[in-house]
Amino acid sequence: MSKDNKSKETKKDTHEHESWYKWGVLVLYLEMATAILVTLYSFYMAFTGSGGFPGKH
Amino acid sequence: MNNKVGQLLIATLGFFWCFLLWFSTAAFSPSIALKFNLTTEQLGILASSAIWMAPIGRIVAGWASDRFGAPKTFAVILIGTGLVSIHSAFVEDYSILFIERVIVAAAGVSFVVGIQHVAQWFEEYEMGTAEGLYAGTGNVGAGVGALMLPRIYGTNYSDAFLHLGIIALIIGGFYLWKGIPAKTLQRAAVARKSATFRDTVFVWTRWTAIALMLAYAMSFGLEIAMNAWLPGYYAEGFKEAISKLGFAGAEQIQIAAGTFAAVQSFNASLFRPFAGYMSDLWQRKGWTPFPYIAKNLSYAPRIHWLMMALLLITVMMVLLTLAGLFGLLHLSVVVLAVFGICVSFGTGGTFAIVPLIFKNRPGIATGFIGGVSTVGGIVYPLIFGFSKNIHMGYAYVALFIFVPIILFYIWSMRYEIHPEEHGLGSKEYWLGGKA
Repeated sequence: MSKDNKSKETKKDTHEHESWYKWGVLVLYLEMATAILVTLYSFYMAFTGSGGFPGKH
Repeated sequence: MNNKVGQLLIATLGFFWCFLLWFSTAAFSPSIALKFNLTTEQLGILASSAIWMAPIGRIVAGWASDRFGAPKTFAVILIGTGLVSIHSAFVEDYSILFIERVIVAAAGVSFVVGIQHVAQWFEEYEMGTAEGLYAGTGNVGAGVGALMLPRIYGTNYSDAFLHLGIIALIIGGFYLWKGIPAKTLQRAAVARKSATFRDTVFVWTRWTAIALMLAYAMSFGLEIAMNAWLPGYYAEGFKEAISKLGFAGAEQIQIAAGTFAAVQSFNASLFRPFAGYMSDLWQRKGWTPFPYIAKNLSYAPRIHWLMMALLLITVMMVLLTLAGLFGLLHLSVVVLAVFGICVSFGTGGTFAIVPLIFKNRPGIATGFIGGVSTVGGIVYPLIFGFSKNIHMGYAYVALFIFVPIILFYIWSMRYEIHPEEHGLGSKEYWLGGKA
């Protein structure tokens, strides 16, 4: 980030998030973790010649 | 359900089910092909028909959500496609079944309705995460359909179409009952008054709207193009390498190739909420690293985040070509997984901006950007397919389509004040004194 941007404090968002937001962030992290696990599992199955994406064995 | 989280849940549920309906035909295409003795060409037409309704349908649905409110529009889509899905369960003639499944596939246009609905309820500082959760979680409906429907119903597509249709009717009724168009009556009224022909032309002719439409074509348009293209690409371009992994015969190679394609799609969907969250984060931190692009707009960091996504997508396309040219299957699929994540940055980043630039016309803008961009799903595979070397298509698209789009994006996002007012014809010309 440029020095110019870092100095522009007025542009930063200072809103306080409501309680739903932390639950929303938790859900999106769970979705990401699911994507990573399915990706790793699928690649393992494919690269060992054992099968494919869940459901396509 | 009278709060914004309740409305987000209703929209996400409706969208999830619409995506199930949208891709339910594809999930049973082998069974349909077997029953009606379809040729490979007929099967190809059936597969491609899923996106025929998207460009025009999304434009109309976006306008309707501004004019009549998202709940009524969403209910019409769910109930209409649900009824046709139920009827298609009893059809014995393939021509009628084909037409009815094209109509059912129109459920996919609901994406823009939910985007408008969520935009009418959430505030600027949380828009990225809210829209990301809606779109990303709803998108999973497509993957769930592909994985679960054949397992639950086997080859009995008729029962699946019947049950999907009945549940669509129930969700449609619930949406109509509990859905509220906007957080305030005033917000809903502003959108309703803006749903005119002149407002539509105004939005369509703004440089920012065109740039965001192209950015979405670079991300979502590319995502649906890759869904169709990748299984064939890996089966053809890495045939020997896949055989060496232990997959013998065309069917086995197809499983491996389909796996790589599915991972891309899966990542593009499930990382989308994170992309929206990142847009919120950049906004919160005030990050605006790129030169020339506006830095002082209230949502400038979000524009810079999308710029980052567009650059990453372009780099990944070039890397896919390089991995292919060197015959490196492992590298290619790892790049593909990252590519899916970068695509989600583009899709999530785009719709964290659209409702903010076009506050008074969220449906019209979303319909244009989400609708026209799907044409990418048709154009890119043609370029990939016509490239003499099967691996070069990604680089051609990156250099000759994506680089010019990025340059246009930078140019159109340079305005520090009211960027939405710049375009073909002035705001006064199209709208007179209207805000």
